[in-house]
Amino acid sequence: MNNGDPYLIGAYVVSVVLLWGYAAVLWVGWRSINRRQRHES
Amino acid sequence: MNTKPSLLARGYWLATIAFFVATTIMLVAYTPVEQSMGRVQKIFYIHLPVAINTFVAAFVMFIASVGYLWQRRLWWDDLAAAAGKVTVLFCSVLLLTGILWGRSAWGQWWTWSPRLTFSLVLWLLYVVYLVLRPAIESPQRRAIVSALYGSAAFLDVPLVYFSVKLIEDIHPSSIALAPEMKVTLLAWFVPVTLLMAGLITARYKLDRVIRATEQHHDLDLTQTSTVRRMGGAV
Repeated sequence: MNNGDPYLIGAYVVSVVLLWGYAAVLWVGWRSINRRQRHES
Repeated sequence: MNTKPSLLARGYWLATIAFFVATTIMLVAYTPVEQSMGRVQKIFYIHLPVAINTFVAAFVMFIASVGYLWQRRLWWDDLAAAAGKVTVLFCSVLLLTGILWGRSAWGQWWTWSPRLTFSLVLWLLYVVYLVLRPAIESPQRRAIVSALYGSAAFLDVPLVYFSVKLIEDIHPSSIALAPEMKVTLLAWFVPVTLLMAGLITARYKLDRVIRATEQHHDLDLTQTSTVRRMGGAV
């Protein structure tokens, strides 16, 4: 592993966690809405 | 109200994930290592597409803000809010990837160069937008204040973009790329742009459903209290 590798890996992990993490939050939001609608109907 | 994801939506997200995985493999196995900076230069293939998509998301918010001021329809406000959230998200990734690359390339986590400073200002402006909105209770007043603020905040985007071309800056204004590097860079634009557009759309639709559900519940409560006042005649 050379000197720049931790920064490259860190940048990739940060990008995946933030971008796909937000997508996951929205997905959970949609599931919650669907569940509430099924419960109400 | 149908809130289940359509086949198109599922296909869209599956394609985005597939592109993201494919471009990650390209980054690791296909793209050559840049000679002067070494492997850390590969952050560039994430950093630049995220930067451009930050500007695009901010532009969507700008158009939606102007749209609300023009037509005063609340769906413009919902779109502006969704785009604003995605702008903050992408700008955060932009700053963090830039900080990590800067630490490796320049030996320092941060420097108050024009481009970096304007980028931080951009992030702060859009964070303030998100903090401002819940503080205003009335939907119409919130929409007007947000639209005025959102339209003005966009003015920082050209400052970020042009600063490095017009003012001396430690941040590079262009980088020479080998053909495989250009292919990788173009490839990375695909999943990042799909993510940006998909997140704005998903956030917008979710907020519209939440708004409609709240209005429906408010209407139920109003009708219930009306029925109670009429002594249950209805």
